[in-house]
Amino acid sequence: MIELSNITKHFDDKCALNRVSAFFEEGAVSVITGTSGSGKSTLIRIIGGIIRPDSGVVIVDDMPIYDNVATQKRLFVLPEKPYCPSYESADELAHFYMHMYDGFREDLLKELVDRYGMSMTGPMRRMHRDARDLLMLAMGISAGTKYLVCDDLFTSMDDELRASARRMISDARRNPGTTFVIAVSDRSILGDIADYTYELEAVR
Amino acid sequence: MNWKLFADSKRRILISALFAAVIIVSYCGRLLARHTRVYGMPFYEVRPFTVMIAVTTGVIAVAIASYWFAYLHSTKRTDFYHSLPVTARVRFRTFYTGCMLVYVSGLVLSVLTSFMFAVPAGAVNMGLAARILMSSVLTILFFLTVTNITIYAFTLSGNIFIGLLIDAVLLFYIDLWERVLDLTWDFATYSSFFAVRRPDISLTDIYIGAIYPTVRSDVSLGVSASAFVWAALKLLIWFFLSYRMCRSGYLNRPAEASRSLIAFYSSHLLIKLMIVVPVALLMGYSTYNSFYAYREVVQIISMIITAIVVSMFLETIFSRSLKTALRKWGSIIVSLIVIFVTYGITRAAEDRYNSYVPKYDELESYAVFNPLDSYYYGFNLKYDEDGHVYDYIDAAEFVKEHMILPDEKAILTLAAKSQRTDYHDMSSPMPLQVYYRLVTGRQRSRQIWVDMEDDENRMMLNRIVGPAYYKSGVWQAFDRDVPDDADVNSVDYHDLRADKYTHLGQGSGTADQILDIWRDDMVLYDYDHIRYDEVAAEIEIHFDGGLYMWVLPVYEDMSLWKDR
Repeated sequence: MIELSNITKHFDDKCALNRVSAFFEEGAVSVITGTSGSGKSTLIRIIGGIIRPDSGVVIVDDMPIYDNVATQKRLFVLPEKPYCPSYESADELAHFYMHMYDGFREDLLKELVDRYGMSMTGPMRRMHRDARDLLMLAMGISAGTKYLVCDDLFTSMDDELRASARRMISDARRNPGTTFVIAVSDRSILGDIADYTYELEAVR
Repeated sequence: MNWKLFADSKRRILISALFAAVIIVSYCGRLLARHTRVYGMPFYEVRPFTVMIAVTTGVIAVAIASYWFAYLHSTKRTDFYHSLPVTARVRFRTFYTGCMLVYVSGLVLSVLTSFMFAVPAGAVNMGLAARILMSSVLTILFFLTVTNITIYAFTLSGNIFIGLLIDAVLLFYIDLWERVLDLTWDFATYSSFFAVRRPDISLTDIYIGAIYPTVRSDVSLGVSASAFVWAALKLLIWFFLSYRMCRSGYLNRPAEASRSLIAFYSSHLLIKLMIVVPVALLMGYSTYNSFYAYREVVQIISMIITAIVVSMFLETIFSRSLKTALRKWGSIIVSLIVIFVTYGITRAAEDRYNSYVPKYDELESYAVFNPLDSYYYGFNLKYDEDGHVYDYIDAAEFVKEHMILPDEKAILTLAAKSQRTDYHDMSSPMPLQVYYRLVTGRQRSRQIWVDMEDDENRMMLNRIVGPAYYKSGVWQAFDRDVPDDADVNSVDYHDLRADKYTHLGQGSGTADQILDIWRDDMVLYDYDHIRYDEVAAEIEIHFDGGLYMWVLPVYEDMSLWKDR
């Protein structure tokens, strides 16, 4: 379970998050929605252990997340614009993740790549951005982590890719049983796969 | 360490290594093409060579460190690395090691390869090997410290250009303040010649100052080792301090700082003060002498304008908004307070400093630096334990040790008159720098202004310059014969009027003969010679293959000119 307790975050003199609390159940797809500027990306980064909150704490399976390797191994984070070294192929990136995540499933990745018509060879910079994002989602699922925390990859995708993403998430919830925490600007983007929806309001 | 992080870094490692290799190979290739013997560089080229090594190493360090840590300025890349299951400490160690290994391993490999080929060729002796190792250690320490400072600069900033700007400020910050201090204390009576030489504390001064005696094969190993040990200690301190700073900066840097130009919001004021205060003081003191009649007004105005402009420029960078910069006056006011406190302290000290003249019973002896003779002050030699010449003695140190002038009345008369008349009102002002030795054991140095058209001044100057005490303090050759072990390869007579050289002979015997005649001639030498006559010829005694020499003046009324 992921638990957020009174998360507050300021950037310079602007308040991005003010005492946000929530918990995300295991095995579920939890969706965080909110308008632009409501702090969704910030919250995803805090949950992912990238940013430290000014106050409050994120607990993952009874352990704090920030700078904690044991907890971070249970989490795979996909920011809104995930970085992939442009000169690397998907295959090389997968091997990199294999070194980082002990439970990385190469067979699952191959299966997802074949099923959704993606390519593992050739530099990733040559791929279309949306296709690259879908491939990164497949990488995240194949990492074998218990949780996958994902910022809004989907708003910019076309309908076909979005549908593929929804199917991928829905299948991954069953096998390998990944818990998803996903931020989107509009709940309807993910259709009916969300088990729980949380709405984030912008701090005035 | 997490070696697995390097799986992503293949390209980074390759580019860093190639960059370093290209710089080093092209520079070494140029050197080899220029010098037919590997260790035959003339001494006057050694210093520029060592400066180039420092510049090359510094550039490589900045380039490699910024390449490895520039990811901190990209939100996407920061998210990528900071989301991985690796602690910040391990991540820092991994990237730092990558940075370091590229250059250090290359340098070590080069040195070992050189030995591999040079030893069978018989080109290596213990002294040379020791010098190579010492200079490699200094260079590695210098490289690592520049790397640390660059990493720290990149952790403070959110943009590569701001990062490089902060890096430049940090690398040369001490040099900047040294320049400010030089100008601050540049009072009318400040004696730059006798000023206590500051110890080398800036990174570049320590490295360049030490590498020069370390690499030279004409210097004894003892001298090289002594220079090496002190410099290595100072560089180690620099390395540890800078490492702590860069590590702390990295670990405390928030990931969201990649969105800002400056990483730590709370550090804005400190960074501004650090830059605005010395730059404004520098500008103020630089303009001080531009308009003599209004110099203080000009100084104050230029300091205020500089403080405002630089502060606004920095605030515009921090906040990315000129409007915000125009509103934020708090930091400008704080900067101006610091600037004017500094200004007030130096102004209060200046009058007291300028009015100092020792009392007659306080003064034990003194030495002078006469600008009309200044050319000859630098030709005094250092000998190592084997009796070989290896360098020139610092001119001021030689004068302080060897020029002991007892005629207190002469100098105090000149000093008192200097107090009464501003040098701008003198017909022919000459700045005479004086090193007072007090009966208490303390020393003071001042510059006094002497009107050369004044007859009484002329008389006093003759009393100072005429006696042997003065000449012993300028020319080592006045008291000392050529050392027995010295290699005098040439004694020459340079007729300055005809611009013609005549070779008089070689060896210490010839040199001593000429010196005896010259010393007898120099009895005539006094202030009037310097003021009203020109040097007609010079005796040049060349040591150790012509690398070093004594240069002795000959005037028209001396036998060495008349009997040439």
